[in-house]
Amino acid sequence: MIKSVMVINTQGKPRLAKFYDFQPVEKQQELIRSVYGVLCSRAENVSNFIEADSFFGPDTRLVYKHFATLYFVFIFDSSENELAMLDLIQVFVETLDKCFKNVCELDIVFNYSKLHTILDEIIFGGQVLETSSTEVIKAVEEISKLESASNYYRTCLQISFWLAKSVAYGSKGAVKREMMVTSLVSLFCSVLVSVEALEGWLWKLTDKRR
Amino acid sequence: MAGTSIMETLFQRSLEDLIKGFRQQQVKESVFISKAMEEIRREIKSTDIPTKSNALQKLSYLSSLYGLDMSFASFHAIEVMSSSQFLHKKIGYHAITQSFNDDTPVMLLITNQLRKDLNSTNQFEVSLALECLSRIGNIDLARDLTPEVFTLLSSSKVFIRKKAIAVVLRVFEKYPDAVRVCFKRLVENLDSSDPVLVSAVVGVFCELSFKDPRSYLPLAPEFYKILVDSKNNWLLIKVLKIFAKLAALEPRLAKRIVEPICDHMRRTGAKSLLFECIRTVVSSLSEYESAVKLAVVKVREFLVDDDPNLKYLGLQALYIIAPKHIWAVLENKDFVVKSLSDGDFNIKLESLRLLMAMVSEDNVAEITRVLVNYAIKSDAEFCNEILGSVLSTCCRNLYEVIVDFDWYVSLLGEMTRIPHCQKGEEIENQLIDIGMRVKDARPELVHVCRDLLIDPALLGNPFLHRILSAAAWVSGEYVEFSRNPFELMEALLQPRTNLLPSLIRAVYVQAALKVLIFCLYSYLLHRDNIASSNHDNLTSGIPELVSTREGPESSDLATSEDPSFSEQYDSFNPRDINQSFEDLSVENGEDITVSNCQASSSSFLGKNSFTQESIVSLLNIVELALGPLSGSHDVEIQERVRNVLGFTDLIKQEIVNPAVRGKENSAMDVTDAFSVVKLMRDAFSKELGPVSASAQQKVRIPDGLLLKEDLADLETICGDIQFPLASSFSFGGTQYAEIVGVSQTSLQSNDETEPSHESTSLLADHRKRHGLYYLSSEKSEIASSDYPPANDPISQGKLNDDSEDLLKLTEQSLVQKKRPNHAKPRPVVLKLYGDEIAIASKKTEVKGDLLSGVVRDVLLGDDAITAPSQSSRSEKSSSKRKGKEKLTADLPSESKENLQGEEMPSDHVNTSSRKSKHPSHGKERGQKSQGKDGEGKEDNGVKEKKKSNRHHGKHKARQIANESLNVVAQTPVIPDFLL
Repeated sequence: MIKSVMVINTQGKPRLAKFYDFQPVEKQQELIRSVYGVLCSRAENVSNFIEADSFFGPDTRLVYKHFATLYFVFIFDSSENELAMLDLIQVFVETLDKCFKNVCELDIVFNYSKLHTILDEIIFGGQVLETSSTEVIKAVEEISKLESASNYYRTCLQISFWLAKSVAYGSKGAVKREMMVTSLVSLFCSVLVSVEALEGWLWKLTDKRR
Repeated sequence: MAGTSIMETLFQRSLEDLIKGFRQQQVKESVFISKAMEEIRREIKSTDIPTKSNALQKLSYLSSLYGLDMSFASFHAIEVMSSSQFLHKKIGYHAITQSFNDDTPVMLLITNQLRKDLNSTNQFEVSLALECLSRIGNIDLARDLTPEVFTLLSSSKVFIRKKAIAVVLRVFEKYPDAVRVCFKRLVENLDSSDPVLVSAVVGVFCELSFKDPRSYLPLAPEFYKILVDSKNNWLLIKVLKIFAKLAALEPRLAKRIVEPICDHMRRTGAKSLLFECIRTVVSSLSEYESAVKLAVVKVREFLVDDDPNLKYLGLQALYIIAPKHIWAVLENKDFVVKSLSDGDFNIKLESLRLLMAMVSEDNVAEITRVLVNYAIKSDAEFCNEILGSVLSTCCRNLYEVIVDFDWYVSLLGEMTRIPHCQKGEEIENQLIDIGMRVKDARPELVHVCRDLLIDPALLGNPFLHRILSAAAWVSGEYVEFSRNPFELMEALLQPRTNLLPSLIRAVYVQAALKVLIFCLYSYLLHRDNIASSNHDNLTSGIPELVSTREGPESSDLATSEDPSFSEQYDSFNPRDINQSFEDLSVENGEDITVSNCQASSSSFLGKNSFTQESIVSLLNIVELALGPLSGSHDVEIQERVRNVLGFTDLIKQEIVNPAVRGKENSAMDVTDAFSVVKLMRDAFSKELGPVSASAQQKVRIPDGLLLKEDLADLETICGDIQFPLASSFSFGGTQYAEIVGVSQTSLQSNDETEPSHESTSLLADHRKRHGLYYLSSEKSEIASSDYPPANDPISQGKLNDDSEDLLKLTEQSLVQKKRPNHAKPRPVVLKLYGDEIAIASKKTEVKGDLLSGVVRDVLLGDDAITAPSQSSRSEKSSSKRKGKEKLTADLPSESKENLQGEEMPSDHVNTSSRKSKHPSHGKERGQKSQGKDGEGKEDNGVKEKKKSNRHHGKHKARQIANESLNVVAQTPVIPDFLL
């Protein structure tokens, strides 16, 4: 069982922290700090394992891998194999690399929710469910398609609703000047968004046909 | 209304904006966060779901990475989660998974939404709900959603089915009754053609079998099939983990899996799988010599690899195997020793553990010597690791490996002087423990403790304070073994003791009292004796000596014996003193005294001898050093100091005055003082013995004492009080201990006196440097911490102990040589009844938890029904489940419980003959069972029809048919792949 997954940068800022057993937030922060404390004291070219009993309780191990500015840390118990976990980190990073095309720390910073989506496809409730990065990417792409689709529909709906409203107000002559300005700006936005939405919709249609 | 919410939506800061804001760092982070939180609190109350979900997303981001509490938003999270839009739903689920736990009050509200989503047609929504259940599922959720999970277990979509399988783990854990519903489908998935599903199921069983392996023994054939057939490393690793647990329970299973595992070891290119095979062999299959040999060969490959990970794991594997096959470690010892100087801390630690595993009675001295020397050179952390493991290894089982306690005690002293030493507590405990348990080690112990006490530099290191407290206690308690009590007294009262914490200082004061009483007692006893002997005119040789030295204020009769005394304790033979005292006290020691007296050089003028003058100066020192402390704020010190001072006052009168008054009175006064001192001496001379940890149990609880009373209130009152001296020992009379042997015969050789001179000179040196004799304690504050470090490792130069040396050394010592005849027999170590209990009390706990009970129920529970049904050939055995039970029903462990006694012998016959017939698996099994199908049908034709409409019916049905046939007809024809 995997207990926790962390991505911490070399300055000690957490970029991702997932605990598969519930931990109160203060405890989470403390754990992240203590893990970082151990990690940053380790030299390069040493083994990637650390006995984590002191922070995660008995029978826990920690495997980490250092990529550029980030530490990827997996914490697990004795029902996982250490080397397999090391491979799993590799799978995770490879998947990120494929998703973001040459992944760097910034991608990870700005794609918080996508990161979680990817990780959730690999590890489910502490158990490793998928180790093939192509499968993971397939699922993640479909999920983000679904997400953006609902986002577009929502925005389209909203904008049309808003336009109708403002027109209604406008006909009563109660529109203030600033309202006009905002409405113009948002009209512009809405055109942009709806074009995009339409695109996505069309794309989805063609995809369905396929 | 709606207008404003839309405005908010359009101009709300998204998560991305938030992150950008963080990166721009225009304000301090905490300020930025609190501003963002304010915003979130406002937005999350919005009625507009997009706004709300956006706020929730930001909140979960902040909570996860910046540790902000998000419990206030739990209800909002539920609202967002029930949105029909996937985007919002996902955000809601993410927030719930992250923040909910069993204490969340609104947990009950999500059950319906979860059920709805589990039944959704959108597989990603189902997946979200499953993920949520697997993370936060509690007993209610697990119970209420079991039917949904059951349905999903046979979903046509692999994407959902694999997650449903994984969620079963949580459901079983929280709601064991779900096993009755879901277990069958879970097991069916083992036969799935999709490796992803199989691996998910095996993963679940791997977790389950860690809690209670025995329940899953019946599934061994399935796992065996995977072990032999599968090519998927992940899967194989998990199966090996399961087998490692099962093989420990069932020896015949172990026999079956050895070969396939060895095959994997030989063939596989994957290090992870190889390591798992090695680990399985060394931990669970260590009786199989050939497999272990192969594993050790593979371990060696790991050890010589460049990858530090493999090295580390190789050492770990060696450590697992060390208790059973020490040869494996010895074979690789060169490597182990070399890794001690590896750059990687993990590897160093592992090799240290391995080295300690190799320690035996014969080589303990050499190994620890080299390790301690190595510790001096290594960094603080590793140094303490070394010391810690040396200490714990040596004290294992009441110092089992130690033969020469004098050596060990001096090693403890040496460890104390290592600059990085932080093992104060362990050394303290061992010093006291050895003092109490090992009589023969006491002289050396006192000697070592004296060296520690006398070194002023040690006082500056707070890590050593506890050791010093033990040293003070030991030298006070066993002062009769001391070679120079005066010196000891000076050490105990030296000004730098003000660096000690007060409780330890109190121990010092108490020790000083004991030393003082010992000195007085010796002095008075002797004087008394000489006085009387002189009165009787029995001593002849004394008058000559008397002339050689004069004390200005002492009666010549009293001083006449001084040289003999000074000779006695300066001859570093304390036991002789003791001997002579005992003799004297029974009034027949004149000869000894006289001979001692004659042997003494008449020109000897020891400044620390038991002359009256020295005793008086001793009393003066005590008064001077302790006087200022009588106003100490610490009650413990104050009380003890007052006691000592009161006592010195009393004695001083008795000792100083009679000398002035004249000799006719002296005899009487001396006996007066003598009786007081004797009383005190008697009080201290009662031996303290070790008390076993369980001794308290033997004490009857007095009536009216409420031990179970809740003392929680007390905690709040004295929560801040610490008990730093809470050592694991309690002192009591010797009645608890059985004293086996007492011998005080061994003589100490003269060369042992050298180190003591060395440290005396050190003390003198120190005095010279600071130009003060121990007069006032105020001055010591000036003489602060400019001492050289506790142990300038001067001797390091000659310790050229590279790992090469260690290698050579282990070369000699690790070969299984005959035990050399030790010069000294091993002294007796007092043992207590309770100690053995403590050692032996590593019971394996048998856990009978709910889950395993149900699993066993499902797998075997109705064997009680099946067993009779087999004999009566009723159709009760038609369910697949039962078939599975019967397949493995002839495991001895299970059969004992479940099968009727008469069937057992035949079963065993069957298995033994089967073993030779069916060495392997899968296909063969299919064929054979097909072959037997006809027969099976003859017997169970009706049942067969019933079963064939089931999912995996056919295959199982055959097994059932075969199995029942087998049991009934008692013909060993059915392949049983487990045994």
